[in-house]
Amino acid sequence: MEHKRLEKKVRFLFALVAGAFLVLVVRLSFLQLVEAARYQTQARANHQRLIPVTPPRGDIIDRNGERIVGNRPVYTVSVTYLGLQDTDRIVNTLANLLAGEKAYEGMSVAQIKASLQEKMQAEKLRLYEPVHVAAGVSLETVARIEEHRLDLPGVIIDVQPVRDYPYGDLLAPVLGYVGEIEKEQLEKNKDKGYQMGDNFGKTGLESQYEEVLRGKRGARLVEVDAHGRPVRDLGVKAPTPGNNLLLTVDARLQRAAQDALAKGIAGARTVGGAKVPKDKTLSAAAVVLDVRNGEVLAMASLPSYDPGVFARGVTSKEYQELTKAGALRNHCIETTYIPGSTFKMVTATALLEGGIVKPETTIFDPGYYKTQKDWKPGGHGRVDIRRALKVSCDTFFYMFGAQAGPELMGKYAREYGLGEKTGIDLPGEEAGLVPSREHKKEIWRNHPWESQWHEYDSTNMAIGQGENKYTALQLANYMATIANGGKLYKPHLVKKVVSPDGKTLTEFSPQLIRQVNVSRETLKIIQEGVHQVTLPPDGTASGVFAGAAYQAAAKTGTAEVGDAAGNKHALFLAYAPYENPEVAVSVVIEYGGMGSGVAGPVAREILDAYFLLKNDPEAKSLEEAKRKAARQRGEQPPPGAATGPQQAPQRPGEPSPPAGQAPLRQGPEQPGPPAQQSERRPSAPPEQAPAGGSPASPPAQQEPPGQADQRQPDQNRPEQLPLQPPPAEQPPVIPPAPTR
Amino acid sequence: MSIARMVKNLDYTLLFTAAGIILFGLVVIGSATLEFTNESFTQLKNLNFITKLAHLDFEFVLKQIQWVLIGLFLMAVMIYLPYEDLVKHSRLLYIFNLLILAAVLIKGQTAYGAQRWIQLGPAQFQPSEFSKLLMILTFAGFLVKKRGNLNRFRDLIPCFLYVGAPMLLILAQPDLGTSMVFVAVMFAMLFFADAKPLLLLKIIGAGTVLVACLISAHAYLHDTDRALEKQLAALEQEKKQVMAANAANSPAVEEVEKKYNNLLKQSEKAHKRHEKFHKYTLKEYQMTRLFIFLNPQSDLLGDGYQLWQSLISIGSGGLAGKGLLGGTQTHFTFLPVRHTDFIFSVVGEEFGFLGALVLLGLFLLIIYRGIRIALEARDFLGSLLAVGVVSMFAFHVFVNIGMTSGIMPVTGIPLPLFSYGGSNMIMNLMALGILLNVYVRRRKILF
Repeated sequence: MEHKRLEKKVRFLFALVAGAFLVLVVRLSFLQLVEAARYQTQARANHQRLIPVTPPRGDIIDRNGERIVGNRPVYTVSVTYLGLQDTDRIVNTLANLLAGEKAYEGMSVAQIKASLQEKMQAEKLRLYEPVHVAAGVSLETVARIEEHRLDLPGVIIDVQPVRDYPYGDLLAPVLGYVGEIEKEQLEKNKDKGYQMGDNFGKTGLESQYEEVLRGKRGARLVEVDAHGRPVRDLGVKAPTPGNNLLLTVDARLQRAAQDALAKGIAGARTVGGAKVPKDKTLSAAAVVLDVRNGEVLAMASLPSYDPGVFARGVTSKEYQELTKAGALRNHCIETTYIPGSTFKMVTATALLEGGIVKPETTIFDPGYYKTQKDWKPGGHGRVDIRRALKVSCDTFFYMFGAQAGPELMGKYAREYGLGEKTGIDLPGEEAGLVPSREHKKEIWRNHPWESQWHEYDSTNMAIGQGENKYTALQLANYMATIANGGKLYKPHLVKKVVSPDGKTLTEFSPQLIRQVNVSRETLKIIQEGVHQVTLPPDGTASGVFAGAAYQAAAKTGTAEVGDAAGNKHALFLAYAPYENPEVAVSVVIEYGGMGSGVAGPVAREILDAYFLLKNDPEAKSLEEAKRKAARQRGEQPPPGAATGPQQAPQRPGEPSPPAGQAPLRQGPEQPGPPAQQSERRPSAPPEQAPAGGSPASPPAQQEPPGQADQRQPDQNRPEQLPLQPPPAEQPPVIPPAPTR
Repeated sequence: MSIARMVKNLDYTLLFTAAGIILFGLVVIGSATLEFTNESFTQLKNLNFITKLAHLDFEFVLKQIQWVLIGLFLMAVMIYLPYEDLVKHSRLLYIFNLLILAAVLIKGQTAYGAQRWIQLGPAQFQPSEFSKLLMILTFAGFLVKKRGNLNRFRDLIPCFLYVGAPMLLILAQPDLGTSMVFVAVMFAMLFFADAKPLLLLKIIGAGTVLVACLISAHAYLHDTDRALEKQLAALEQEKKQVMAANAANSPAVEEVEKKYNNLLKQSEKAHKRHEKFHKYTLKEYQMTRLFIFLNPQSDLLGDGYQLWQSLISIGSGGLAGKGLLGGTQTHFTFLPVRHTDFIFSVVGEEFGFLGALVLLGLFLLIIYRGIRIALEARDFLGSLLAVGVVSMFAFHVFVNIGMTSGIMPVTGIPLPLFSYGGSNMIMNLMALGILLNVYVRRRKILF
């Protein structure tokens, strides 16, 4: 009986246990049979990481196949977000290890930590993907991180291509730089498959051709343990490298242009007498165009910089310095300068095309027109339009410019492409400004007098002062158009897009914007005029081209900035050879002081380099070409310096330095008296300044150039106009038109 | 009884089943402790099964073998000593039990937020494990005299007190899991000692209701506290805006301030009540951990991490498992404490549903044999002992596998004869010794 009761209880207990086990079996079969696939996916997500592999960006190659921008591998540090409690400790350790790194220079450990946390926070949503925290990490730091491997779970060291610049600062502001994509850029380019941490061209060609250069991201599937430490590679999807850009630029010529320009800036201080405010860095720009097709052979913008600083991670201090100095700007297209006398070809075109002067029209220049003085005291004597260009006669252009008016001059400025974007394949191009009645009205809205266009506005405009503002590229292209007989090309920097395996994907052919609406005869006269500029005895650039092995055409410009210190930009436009022109050059040196004395030698040096390199396409650099040329002629290069091959025998009394050497000619060395003072306008006597002239306007100012002294003209009443043009000695002199 | 006869009368089914579980356990421990640190490890899973065994991590396996040997020796001792003699000293054993549990509280080692171990020479020793066995022995002695006199609730009170004293000491460690083992074993033994089943059911029912009340009370207090805090924060923002927009004494400011102060008082009151509740019951974090199994995904990177990884391990094993040394969760160390409490997850991952079924089958076989032994015991004391051991065993298996598969709260309960751990292994072997003790001295009529 008792045994039976026990048996019943035992059976009950066993049933209970069996029931419990059944529950377990049901649960397990749910997990392992029904939901198995889901958990298998989860397990894979746990232990497999898809690590993006950065593609190498396309190379940037010069026209001779020389690599200007490539890639080099660097160490990068990434962190996988672990979500574990010790993330804080890991970030701490890592911040300490990275403290010495370039990318975090000048930051305290606490700041680095905050920066790391911010980066990781931004990517928290993608739990299992590594976050980039530093690139270009030094080998020592990599070694130290490896030492702390066990303390740093989830920290991944990887190798990644970054931009490499074998030529340092060569072409830097044109190339632009690459950096990690920013939030706004990411938003904007969402559908193009960008991700946080991707490279993105920020400025210059890198930005313009981002789509071409970027390539396609690859991926690496890695097996990791719970601490995010990679255990093995499961496979790699190779990244597709970006396509290469083949530039129209010749790296050797570019180097020569940059070097020459740097000497030009030095000359601005020594020879040009620039009065530079303390915190200002002088800028300078030089553009070399092939006049036959609009190819940019060199584009130098100073100050330049080594874009390598961005590849290794720029510090905020460095970035601020670069920005402040204006090094990140391409001054050839992003900065506009007052053209000064280089504008006179526009005026000349307007005068001829508008029928205001005839080719044979002559005036006698006494050295002033009404209140405005010529740059040369006493004047140039008898002057026709060619000679007006040759000696840069202000009086001639004052007088007829006043008759031509802004519409006519503006029309031909625009005809030559001034005041409109050239459409070059670079971002951020400035359009410049052609003065006009409308523009003046707009900026002087509340001045009943000054909002009107006056005669002095026309005369200012005629000599390239006033509101005229153009980029160095526009000026070069304008000179190229004069050179090639009126064909305005769209300048371009990229010749071809080439795939990594060498196939040409796109070829950019020359694009003619228009044949300018200027008669052949007019162009011919202007070409003759600018050719004469380079001829002795009194062409303003005759000293510049003394001894050149080629015939050139040029125009100097010394543009008043309109600041209190009386600074002037030095400008120089040239093309060569005069017959069958090939290249056009523009040089602008901020505060350079003298067009012929400071900017001219730079242009000369660039043109010399162009012809030397053209004859020796094999040469690796300008120096090599010089040496070879010297050897061919059986000359011994003078010790310590390469002699300019085109160096002419020195003229007596003209100690002009070797072309390749210190090219900054001193003012007095210029041949012939006109160059003595270059084309600086002498200080105007106070008679010009109207009674009660604003004290703010420097006495030297004959005209209100730029906005700097906008108060002055208020009192500049027409009735004070005065000095009639000198009595013409020759019949074709046109009587001065009444002021409008 | 001669030793030869004892050996002849041993329950070999039980012994071999236990040996099978232990061997299986050793293999899984060797696998669980092997961490993959480089690529060469991932090639191991391509080897054949026997070669794989040679590549296991033997550090913990050897230690476990050492515990098994000690356990087997103590099992033999347990078989040899007649259980009547053991129970005769139940008063002494009971005092010894209280002493070792008190020792833990006084000078125990802390791990996972609880004091469980005391240092004993070179080894650590976990008294709460042995306490279970001592409780079964002493409670059996206590109950055997009360048989038939357990029909009223007040008859049960001495039993509760008797079990309650050591249980409270364990609860103080705190070790909720082991305390629950005590409760389960006590009810099973009371049931076999002819306590009125209905009465037991009522008590269990009342306990369940009490627990449910506590949980819902906490949920209410917790939720109102949080909700008020949120409202307060929102109102604070509003207050700031109103104060910025209006003059200091304007009616709008006064009104919002009044509202704010009222709510602040309410919130403080609710917060105090909530804190008071935790003071007398479980702490907030204990509550969270206890009930995280209902929704581990609510805190994947914190309290839910362990359980979630366990579920991934078991679930991803599928029908046949990933094979020995093939478990990514195990070898890439996503699963913590995988060689002790969560060893079943490794079984699930590497041997799949089939492997889990085999292990469950082996456990069921042991339980079945244990229940047979209770039935065949020579006397009531023997039956009680066997029932105690079997119920402890079954409870452990159910709670452990239940917790790794997410249907039971996560409490620190090991898988008997399988998890790595000296105290647990020795205690379980000794418990089997008691079963066999009862078995070799079973009723004569069966011979």
